[in-house]
Amino acid sequence: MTQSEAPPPTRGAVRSAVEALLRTCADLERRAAEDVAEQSQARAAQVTVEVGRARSAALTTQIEALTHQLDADLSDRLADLRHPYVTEIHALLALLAPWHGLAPLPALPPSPAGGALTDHFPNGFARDYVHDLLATVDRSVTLAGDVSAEVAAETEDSADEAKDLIGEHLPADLREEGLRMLRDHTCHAVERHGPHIATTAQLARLIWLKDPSGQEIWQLLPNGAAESSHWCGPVSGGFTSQAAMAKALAVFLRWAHDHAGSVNELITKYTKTKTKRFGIHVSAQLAGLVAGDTAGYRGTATTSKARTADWLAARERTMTYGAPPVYGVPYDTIAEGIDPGVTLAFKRIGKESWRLVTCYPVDRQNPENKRLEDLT
Amino acid sequence: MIPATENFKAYFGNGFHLADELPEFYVEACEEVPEMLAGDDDGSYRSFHDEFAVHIRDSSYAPWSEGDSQWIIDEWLRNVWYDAFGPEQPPGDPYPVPAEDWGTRRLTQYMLHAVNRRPELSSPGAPAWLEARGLTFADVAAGVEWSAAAESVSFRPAPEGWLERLHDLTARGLRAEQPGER
Repeated sequence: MTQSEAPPPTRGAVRSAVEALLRTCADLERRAAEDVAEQSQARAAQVTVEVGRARSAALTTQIEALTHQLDADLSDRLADLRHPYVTEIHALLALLAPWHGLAPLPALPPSPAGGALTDHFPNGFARDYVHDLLATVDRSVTLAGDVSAEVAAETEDSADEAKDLIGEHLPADLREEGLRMLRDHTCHAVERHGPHIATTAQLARLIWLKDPSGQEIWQLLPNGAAESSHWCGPVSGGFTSQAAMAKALAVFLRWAHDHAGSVNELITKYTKTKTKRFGIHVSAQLAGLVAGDTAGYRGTATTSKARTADWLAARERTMTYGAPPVYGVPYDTIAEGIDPGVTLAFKRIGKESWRLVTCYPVDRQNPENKRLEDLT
Repeated sequence: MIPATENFKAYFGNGFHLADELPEFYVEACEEVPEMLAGDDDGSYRSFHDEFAVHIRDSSYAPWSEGDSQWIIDEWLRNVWYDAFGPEQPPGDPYPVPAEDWGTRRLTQYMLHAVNRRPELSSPGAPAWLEARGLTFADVAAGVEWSAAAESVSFRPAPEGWLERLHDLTARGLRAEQPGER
């Protein structure tokens, strides 16, 4: 895979370089530690033999001294290993800082003896960012463009079948209405978040904007870039079973009927006559969703608006230039979220008529969506 | 201005809040603005427009989480404003974005999602959206790659006196203090 003309440094390029360097550094450290551990085991074995020959108090001291020596060796080697990476990552973060509204970064502090990699960076923006990236360095994954190209789209039949099975988990009196919502042509809840979608397809959606349903344009280009008409934010994923996907829908439908008589009446009551879209947060608690009911991916270090924009810029650069792809972290929004639930997104199609567009798990309520329990 | 009115929340919650979660809702909300302003018989959309500008002026739209500073939120709102209303600056903005930055060194979420290198890959509404802003597909494609090199004016860090300005606005009751502002 070749890259087209080298792009000038951009937000996305800087962001990608920071993560690439950090990953390399973390990997080197792991190998250095393994190396030392090997030596340590060899020496320990030797010491054990000596202890066997002559038990003495002096030997105990010797073992302790050896341990300290090994620790010091590791620290020295780590400090040497880290130094060029730390310097370069810090310089790159300084380039990224203005996008976070920050003036020049504090200089690098003197290298701490030992300590974690994060301790090498000045307090605040740089250390927090490195911490955020390192937190998932062992769990994060990526997907090469040519592997994405091989990921098969889910067929329409499999989506239809998933809808039928979801319907079986809806209460009998709500089943027909629920199925009508999911089958409507304006709704793509199952096509994007259904339990039939393979994990790799969700990763390809996040990293390469590949539509899991195969309905939208996606093509890998000869230079390793890709073109797509599909849109996806910094998170992809959905429900792990038909039962899980039915939960929020069932609770919502029941609520609408109990409190307003119908879905249209409930939403119409809480919207202005001219607004055309409406988001409802059904909390995991209300829906009865538990850890394991949802699965997917989120972009690495996407814990704030500005960091998310960095990650999106990096992904855009991959799509445009075929630069190395970005990373995602496996994410169970229900298990890991701070106010988890499901967003039900509706669109107005008539004066008092609404259609479900999608429903997807979220790790917290979007503050501008309404909570179902407030729609009384 | 605090608190935000229900009118503002209703229209902001009409898709402008979902760019990351559901880009199509954001894009639709941006593309329907001319129609909404034209058919605004009760004036409620104009009120939304006016209050939007006030939140930018007063730094009164609170961050959604502690990871986002007020400056980042205000810069985000300036981008949403541009995506919605175009190059006319929000009235009273103390830190207006230079007009020539839009689509060149400053990219918005509409550009990121809805404007791709070819119209076939872009939102059907993108040509009209671009034309209303005097931009082309090529402009935005080039803007994706503007240089962050030292000689370029960078994206904007919070200006001198920013925290003092926030303290003053807070003292005047126009906004609520956010974590990390002292």
